[in-house]
Amino acid sequence: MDFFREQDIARRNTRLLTILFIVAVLVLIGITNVLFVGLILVESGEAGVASLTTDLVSWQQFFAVGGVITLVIGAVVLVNWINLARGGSQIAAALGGRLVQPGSDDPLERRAANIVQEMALAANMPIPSLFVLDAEPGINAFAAGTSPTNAVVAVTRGALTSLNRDQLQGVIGHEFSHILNGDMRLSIRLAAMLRGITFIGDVGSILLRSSSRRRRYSSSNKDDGRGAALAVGLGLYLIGLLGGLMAGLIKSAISKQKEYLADASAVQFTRNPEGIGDALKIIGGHASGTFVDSARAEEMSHLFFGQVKHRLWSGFATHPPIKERIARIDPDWDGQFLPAPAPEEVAAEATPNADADPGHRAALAAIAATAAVAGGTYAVSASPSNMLAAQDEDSALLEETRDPLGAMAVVLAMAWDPLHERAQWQALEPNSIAGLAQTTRRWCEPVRRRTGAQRLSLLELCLPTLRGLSAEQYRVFRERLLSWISADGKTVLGEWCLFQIVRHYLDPVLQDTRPTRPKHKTLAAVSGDLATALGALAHLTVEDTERAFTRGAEMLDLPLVLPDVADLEMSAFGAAIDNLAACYPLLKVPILKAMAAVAADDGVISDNELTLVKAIAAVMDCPMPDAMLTAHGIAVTAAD
Amino acid sequence: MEMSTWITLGVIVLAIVWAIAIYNQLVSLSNRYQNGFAQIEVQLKRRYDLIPNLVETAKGYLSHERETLEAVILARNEAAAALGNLSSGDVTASGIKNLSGAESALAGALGKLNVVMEAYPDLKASANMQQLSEELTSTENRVAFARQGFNDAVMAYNTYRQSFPNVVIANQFGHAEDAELLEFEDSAEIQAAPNVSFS
Repeated sequence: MDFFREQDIARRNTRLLTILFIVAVLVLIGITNVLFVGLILVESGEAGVASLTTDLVSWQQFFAVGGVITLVIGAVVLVNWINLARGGSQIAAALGGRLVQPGSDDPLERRAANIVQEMALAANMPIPSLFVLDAEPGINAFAAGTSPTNAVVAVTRGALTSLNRDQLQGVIGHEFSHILNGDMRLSIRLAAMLRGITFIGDVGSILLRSSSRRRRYSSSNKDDGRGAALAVGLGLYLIGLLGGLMAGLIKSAISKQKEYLADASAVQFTRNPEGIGDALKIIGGHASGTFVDSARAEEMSHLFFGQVKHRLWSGFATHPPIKERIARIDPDWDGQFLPAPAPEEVAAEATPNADADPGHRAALAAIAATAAVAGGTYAVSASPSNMLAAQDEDSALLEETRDPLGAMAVVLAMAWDPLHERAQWQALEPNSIAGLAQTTRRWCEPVRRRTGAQRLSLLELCLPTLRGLSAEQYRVFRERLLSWISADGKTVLGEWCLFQIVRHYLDPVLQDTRPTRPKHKTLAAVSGDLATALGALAHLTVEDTERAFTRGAEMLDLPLVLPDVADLEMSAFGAAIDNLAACYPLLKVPILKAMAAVAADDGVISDNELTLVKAIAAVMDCPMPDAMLTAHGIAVTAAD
Repeated sequence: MEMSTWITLGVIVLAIVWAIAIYNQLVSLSNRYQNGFAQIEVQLKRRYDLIPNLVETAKGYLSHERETLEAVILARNEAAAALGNLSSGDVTASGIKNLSGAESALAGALGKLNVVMEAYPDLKASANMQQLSEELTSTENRVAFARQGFNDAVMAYNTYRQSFPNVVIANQFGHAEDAELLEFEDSAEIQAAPNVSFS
């Protein structure tokens, strides 16, 4: 399960997609030209045939037709691109999705939200927003967004009511694999480009319909214009059909393989092959299968968990056949589909008090003092009795992260410094938010008792709630957080990380700044930033700063110079991490490894250092399941 | 083709792209305030759940003030009903107006109860009452915060909708009406009330 490699493959697939797209546009231009010439021939009758070689087929005309088509396709792609690149929530809303509020009453929604939460915590990424497609009885789901920052997960109502917890977890795990594999950006480009191609067909069918309607009502003396409109409409319709065929093939070629991969990753991610296997078996026997009715589902079909519409020929299918997918997960499968559990059963499973829900427990455990996260799964090895003791406070804390005011208070509490308390409370005071100081006071002590890793989990729980703030409220909160952090006159690295994560995940949503895009292809291009980042980490070590730094530089095979402590201002560090975040995915692996090596140079990775590495990974848009941290030589278990 | 034809084509395409962008922005702003309302809903429900407890606790001490207590419960039920009508996820202007009115009535009834309770130091001192008042204050703060967020989102939507040329597209494609702000008539009192009486 190497997500970075998959991200790189996804990026390369994007290149393949672009080439296929250009070929498709060229083919369309060629065919349109043939059609155009044919149309003129028909119009001009026999006289035209004589001048065929001279007037009709000229380069000028060829380029004019080509230009118009490119312009139209370009414009449509642009519109869709702008629209889709605004993030997953836009797409989910376009497909009829409704945002599930963190404090939803519906036990089924709450269960799904808990699953999303536990998966995100396991992947060390902020919790994506969850949407429900209320009008869809089929069992399906999708993930959308351009980066983990604006990712959303959506499930159909059918998936909520027809799957039990393990099965739903398998389905959502599959969607998380898409997020971690970097498939979302590719999917969105695919959707935008394909829309451009199929758009011509839509125009054609509109023309066709309107001209045939006119035929019914108008007299026959304007026969010519009508005939031409009909011919053009028919022509465009045919071109559109062809474009649709090509679009289908491109889609099919790119997405089928990704689905197998996401299935496999989901099994590894959830450590439970039965969950996703059973989900597929139920889908196979379910009346509405995975079909989705929403009008725009077709163009987004490759985003979904399963086939959205029925396809006669599998060459056009965006997803591999269900039976094939089951067989790959469960080689001993007897070919029998499963009946969906009765709705009452599912409801009953979801209804008992929230504390019994494993997702709730996982989230609780993530913030509980006694919890130990076992090798990379969401499964938590804390014993129930341990948890019961701390549970009341944990439950209250967890509840608080679901409320905007509470979430702000918890974030502030994370940077609480008892030594400079007075200055901090003063910094919070001016034009503050009613009740914020009071709520923060309540959580300072409990939050302080957590380890760094638990605080990071808490922060991840708070972020989706904070997305619900208004722009103005966020501006005030951001300002207060900054002065709260710097009230003691200095900013330590941990506090800086807290602020950076908040900024990184909320600015794009609430201040309309664009998330960074990969632009650096080599490590040499960011060597200055690497020196700053490694230098800041090296200064944290208890032993030899120089040695720790050199070890990191050696791992990267770059001649880096250790920066002076005086030069390591927080703002410089922030800018450096932002630049590192703009590296291509495969480059990020050695960077994170080097950081871990610097942190581990003195023989232990302290809780602080581990939190820092994880926080930097988060700011670099590298959600890393713990198993991956280990696999890449980044120790997960913090030394005490 | 002639240069002018190209330019005309280009302008038309740009205009369409622009119109679609405006429409999308309208939809996303309207989604934002609808979601903002869901936040208030959670907090208001919590408040409506707390009020019967408050009345129940007060009952033992305020046997002579049955009318005041009944008025609170009545106002609470009406506000809860107004909220219930809005809960379907479709926030309408008239529904918001109803809720605003019911909330103001509830605030008035609570204010009266607070004045009455001033005369009963035993009640104020009871542990149960203190915990309840703490909860209520905290919930009031959350309601106020969520309401501010909702109103910000509504303002953003209205401003965007009313500006030119957005208003042309908005009126054509299903965004012809301003969204309603959620104003509680005496919101200052409602926030201050529990503080004044118990702390």
